Amino acid sequence: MSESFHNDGSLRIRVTTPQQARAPFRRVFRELTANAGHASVLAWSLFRRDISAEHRQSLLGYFWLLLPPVASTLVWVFLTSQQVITLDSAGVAYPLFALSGTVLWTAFNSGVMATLNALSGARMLLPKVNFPHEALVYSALLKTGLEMLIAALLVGAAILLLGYELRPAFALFCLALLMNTIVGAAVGLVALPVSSLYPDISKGIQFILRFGFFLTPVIYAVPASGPARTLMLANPVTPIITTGRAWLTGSGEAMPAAFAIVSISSLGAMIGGLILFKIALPFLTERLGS
Amino acid sequence: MTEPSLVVAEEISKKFCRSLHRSLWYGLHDLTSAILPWNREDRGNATIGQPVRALRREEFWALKDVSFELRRGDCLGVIGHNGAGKSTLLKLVNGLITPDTGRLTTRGRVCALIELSAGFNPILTGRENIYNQATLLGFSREETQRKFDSIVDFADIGDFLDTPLRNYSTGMAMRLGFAVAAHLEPDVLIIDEVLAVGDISFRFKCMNAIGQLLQTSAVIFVSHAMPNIVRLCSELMVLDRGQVTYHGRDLANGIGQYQALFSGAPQAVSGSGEIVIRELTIQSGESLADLGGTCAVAHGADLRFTVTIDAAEHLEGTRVQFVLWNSEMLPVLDVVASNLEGTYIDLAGARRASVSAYVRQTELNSGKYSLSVIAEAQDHTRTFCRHDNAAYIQVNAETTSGAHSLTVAEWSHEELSAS
Repeated sequence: MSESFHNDGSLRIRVTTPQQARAPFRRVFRELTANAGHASVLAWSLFRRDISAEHRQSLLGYFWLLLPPVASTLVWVFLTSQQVITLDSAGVAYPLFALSGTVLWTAFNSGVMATLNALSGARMLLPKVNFPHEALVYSALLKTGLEMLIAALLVGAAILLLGYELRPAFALFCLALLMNTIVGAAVGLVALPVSSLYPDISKGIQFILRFGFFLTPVIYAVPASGPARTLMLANPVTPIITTGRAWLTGSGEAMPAAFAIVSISSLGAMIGGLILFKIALPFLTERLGS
Repeated sequence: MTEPSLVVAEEISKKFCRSLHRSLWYGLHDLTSAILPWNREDRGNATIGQPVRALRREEFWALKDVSFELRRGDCLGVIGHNGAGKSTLLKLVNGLITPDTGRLTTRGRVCALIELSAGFNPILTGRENIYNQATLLGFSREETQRKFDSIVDFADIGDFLDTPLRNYSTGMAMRLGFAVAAHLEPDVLIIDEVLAVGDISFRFKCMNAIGQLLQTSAVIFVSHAMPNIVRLCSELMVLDRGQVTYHGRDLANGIGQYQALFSGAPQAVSGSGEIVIRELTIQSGESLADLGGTCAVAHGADLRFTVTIDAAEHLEGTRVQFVLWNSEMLPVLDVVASNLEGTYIDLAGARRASVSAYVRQTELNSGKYSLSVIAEAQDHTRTFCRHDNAAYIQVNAETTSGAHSLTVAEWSHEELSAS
């Protein structure tokens, strides 16, 4: 497929042929930048639409966003306090340790699911209306961003409630939260085209996320040695979670170099995933359309 | 200098796959070969006039070698059966999918009036949905604000403007959708059967709006309603299973070809069965058809229906009448006696009768019409036999009229002085 846009006077010309453009990535990148204005306005409108529609119908609203990390933290705090299980929290008070870990994990999780499901709400539109489809991804990211903002406020409130000092490094924790969302978004975006064709992919990812929780240092610290440590260090989410938490609590293992590497490559992967999404869309519309 | 064409389609084709699993698999394959630089063996040769990659297993051409060119003010009508490739063509022009062969060029803003309520959110109010839909279709914020009153005015939904959309009727949601879309200023406009919903006054409003848009854009119009096609279109394309069977400016000819594509529904007999049709003939000039056949009739020619019926022992008599249905399943002609009911046949003497009706100067317009024979009790309380699609007549009239019938009047005029 090749599609090229250029201007002839005031009219935009679109040529579509089945031939391969010599550089589909460059073409789509140009298209993304050309559409940026309309796409961002549309993304904002979709974002507001979805938020207000969700909000209007629900009685508890944003409470549902806060509930999972709080509930999960409470469960782990209860289990450790009753000594049902013993988890190493690297010297940090366990409630704060578990809450910050869970919130960081949720950021990754939401990033994956938001982008993976970016098309599901727009299935009806795809074969009918031509609009800058990247707006769907942008609005999904905006929604996740809002969730993370609320989560950050929750952590801040928890710190004050538990009687700790809210240090300036809290800003770095928020950065880690953002980065983990981006790592998740990159994973979701890269998987999106194939998972739109085959729902198995999305099911598989959800399965991995469910068990990945236990193999990621979310509710416990990275062990000092052994195969478990090797396994966890191979996990790209580990440096973000442990470093973010170390910044927040002021103790524990920080991995700033790994943090930087994962962040930069995820940003790259996310942009690559967006381009992939644009290239894939006509193929998806063709196969899924009605 | 004349403006270049707004739509140029050069031998575009599109393949589809019947099996779901294969379709998804081919989709994955096409997608990878679009991305991976080393996997491009089979797409490179798909240019105009050159052989294209062969169909894969279970694939077929949903659209094959379609070419046309539209300038501002042109309106191309596209007609065909379900599955003929009309929607595929619209999706291609709309840029939603890419052709497998050929080249498609569009200039300017392309806008589609296809299922206008797609994109609405049921929980939000009409007002909010107008803004969202307008943004989706590419209006700027200022443009929407400028046109907002006019949109509300056109939609004519009254007090419902601030009511959640889920409390709207289907027709009201449609009106809102059309009102937004009609305020776009497209260069290329794609219309697909959107006028099917809504009451008569709104349909008229839509037709007028489309007529206005037509003057400033190139339009592709898909419809099953021939009167609308005749009213709006300057040229016509007939699609049959992906192939173009007619493309030209002779609308009557095109519509005739489309209607001839109807293979006709199978004969259907209902009623009490106390009367059975033995034989049937339709005759017009040299042309003759019997049960299940098609009789060609020129406009203005005479027409004779003859039916032979067998009746059960106890029947004393029956009313017989003929009804002609057009291809949209609307009754267009009842053949009746002078009392405007079916003709009465006394069956006391014989169990078999031959009934004949002679119609002078058929006024029906071009098209294929299906014949029903109805035999019922004199007081209409009981149907003895109803034989639908018993035979067909194909009328040919050299005209561009979209009306159901054409009557030749005796005209006169006199000159009047103006004071």
